[in-house]
Amino acid sequence: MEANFLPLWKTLDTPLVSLDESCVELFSVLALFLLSMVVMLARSRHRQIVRHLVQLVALMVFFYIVYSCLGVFGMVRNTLHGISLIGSVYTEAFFWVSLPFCVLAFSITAGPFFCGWICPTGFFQELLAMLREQALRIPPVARLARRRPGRALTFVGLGLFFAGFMGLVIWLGTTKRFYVEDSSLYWAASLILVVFLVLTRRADDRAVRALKAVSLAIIVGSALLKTAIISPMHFAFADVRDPASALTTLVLVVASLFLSQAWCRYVCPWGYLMGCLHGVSRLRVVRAAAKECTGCRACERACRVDAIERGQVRLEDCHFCLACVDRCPAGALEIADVWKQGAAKKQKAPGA
Amino acid sequence: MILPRAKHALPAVLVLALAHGLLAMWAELFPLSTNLVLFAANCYLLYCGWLVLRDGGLVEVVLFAAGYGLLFGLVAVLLGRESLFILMVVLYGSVFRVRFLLGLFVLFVLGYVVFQPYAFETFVLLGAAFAAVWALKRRGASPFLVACLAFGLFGLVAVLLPVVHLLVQDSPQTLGYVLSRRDVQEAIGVSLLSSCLATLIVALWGVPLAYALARSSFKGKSVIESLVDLPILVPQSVVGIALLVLLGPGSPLGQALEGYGLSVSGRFAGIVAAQVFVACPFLIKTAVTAFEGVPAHLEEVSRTLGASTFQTFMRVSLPLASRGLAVGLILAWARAISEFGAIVLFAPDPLSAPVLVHAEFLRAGVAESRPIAVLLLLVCLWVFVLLGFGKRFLPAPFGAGADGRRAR
Repeated sequence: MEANFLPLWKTLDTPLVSLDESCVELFSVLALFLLSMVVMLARSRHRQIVRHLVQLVALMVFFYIVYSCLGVFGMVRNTLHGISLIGSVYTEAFFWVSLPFCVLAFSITAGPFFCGWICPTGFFQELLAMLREQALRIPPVARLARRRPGRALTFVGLGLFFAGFMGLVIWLGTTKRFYVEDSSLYWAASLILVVFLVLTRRADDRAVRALKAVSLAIIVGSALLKTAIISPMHFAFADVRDPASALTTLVLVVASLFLSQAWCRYVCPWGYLMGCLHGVSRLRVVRAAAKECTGCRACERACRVDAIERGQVRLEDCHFCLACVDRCPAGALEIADVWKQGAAKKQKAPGA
Repeated sequence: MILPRAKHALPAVLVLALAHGLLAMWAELFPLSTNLVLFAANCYLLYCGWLVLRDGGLVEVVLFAAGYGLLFGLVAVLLGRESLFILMVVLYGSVFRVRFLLGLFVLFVLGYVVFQPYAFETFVLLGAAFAAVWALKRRGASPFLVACLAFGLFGLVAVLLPVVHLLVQDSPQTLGYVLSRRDVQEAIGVSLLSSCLATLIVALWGVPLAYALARSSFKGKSVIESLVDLPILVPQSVVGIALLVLLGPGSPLGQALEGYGLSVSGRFAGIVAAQVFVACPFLIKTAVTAFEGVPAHLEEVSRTLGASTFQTFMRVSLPLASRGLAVGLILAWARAISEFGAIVLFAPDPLSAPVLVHAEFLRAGVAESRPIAVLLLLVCLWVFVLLGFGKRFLPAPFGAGADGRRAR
């Protein structure tokens, strides 16, 4: 393998249009986000198809044009690294910081739509879920386990499968020379463990989501210590191929086959950040005041991250994919503008 | 209405495009590529501006535009960083309607543009202070109280700046290397051990003294109380000299001790002695307050139920005062481990960490002693945080159980 080996699809080793200070990156990111915001918020009967198209376009953009890391670990690290460079190496700082800053900025003025509309790690898992549901017509294991919780066969089968994966991960972690960069294997191992525990109902799905905060803390800490942990899916966007990242990606694939968006639910550090931002961001999905919820639970089935309970969307887990809004037969879910409501309340208060 | 109407948005975007086109043709302010990105960013800012106009009215739009102009002048013209300006402006437009984030953003720009070499430290400290002030304001506190907190925190930030700045000076790798040095490990070990020992010794006689002072009144009590404060008053070098005169190699007491093989000066015991001296007032004063906070009638009830005075002390007063005592212990420990002046005069020999920092500074200068100082600081901070957290698990003082603190 050559030293500066490039993946096959990255045939261009410089951005498409070589402009100074790599402005083309920021331009394409801004254009992508503006585009997706417009199509996301425009009323459309085919919103979910449009969403997958946007995800596809985003994937192309990040394959061919934008070279800064889109990995869920890398973006946290890039933000901190880029900020620390402001003042000394402006161009480089700009390069590192432009993508994460745009993600954060747009999440404030809309919702955290990066997760549901752009993030390739999420898209990858969603593709797998679609493959399983549409093409293979296999119901998710989560639902199977829910139907017959105590079945010994399911139990043992799942356990053996996960134990096998766990063993492989641990074996790889101990036998080959282990670098800090390969630590994503630990994420993979914990993901397996968590998915197993949740599926066998040994752990509460909601409680385990707190792991996202732990994950973020570790990534921020490691970034401050100037060590890099390579994200899963990373090999698709950079000119490195390393087995740890690939194996973590594999685990992510398998886990998301069992439990949709498993990575996003339990361990994604960037996802935790987006969840926090959703508390202050402008748009969120709420129950429409005028329409009656019939309790059909179509929204709960539509939600891939199980962020809806009895027609209420939990902000910290929502990916803003808007599937629930589109699937609701009664039209009882709608996108609400929190800022406008706040402004209206403030104007009304002194008069009343 | 989630997006602006197309009949409003399209003309606005067209005008913007025209303006950028004209700018590119005649003014040639930016290169073409920058102009293109700026156009995309300005499209987004139009959207943000529409939000500001809708929710805040005209005055806010003017403020919004003024902020944009300020950023332009500061980052694009003054610093000459157009690309960074574009990014900053995208952030600015997003956070403008969320006041807390806007405040943080202003601090961020302030830190990274104005206080440049100290950007990280100032941003972290000012950000934390701002968050605290904001939290108080959200609680509905009076403006005067908020102003008091803000003003005071500003001073605290200035005081803490050198410490935080020191913390970010050395790379973790350097710290790890220094920590692997034998002498550094030994010095930190000596410091930790001696300060813990000194705190224990102080606690052994300080707690009974404090209990007696809190539960009695007699002639000359005020004299004793002021005598307790005396070690705070005495300069560190004076403490060192005083200990040398009393226990040093030339003094009768020192010689007598040496005769028994118990030499203090220049030994580990000397470090502990100096630390006991400087640490005791902090424990005793806090302990007196803690015991005074235990209502006397509880002790009387305990006596009526048949407990002896000793049993009452052990099972009523001590547990109820334990939080205050813990604070006193932590303060005394902190004072003990930070002692330098008396130790360097009286017992410099088994190098304790502050003395090592000083010796390294004299031998090799700031650059060599800095990582050791950072390490010492980190160790102390870590223990301090741990102890402060562990305090929560002690029983709550009487009457304070209702505030949600965990009591066991």
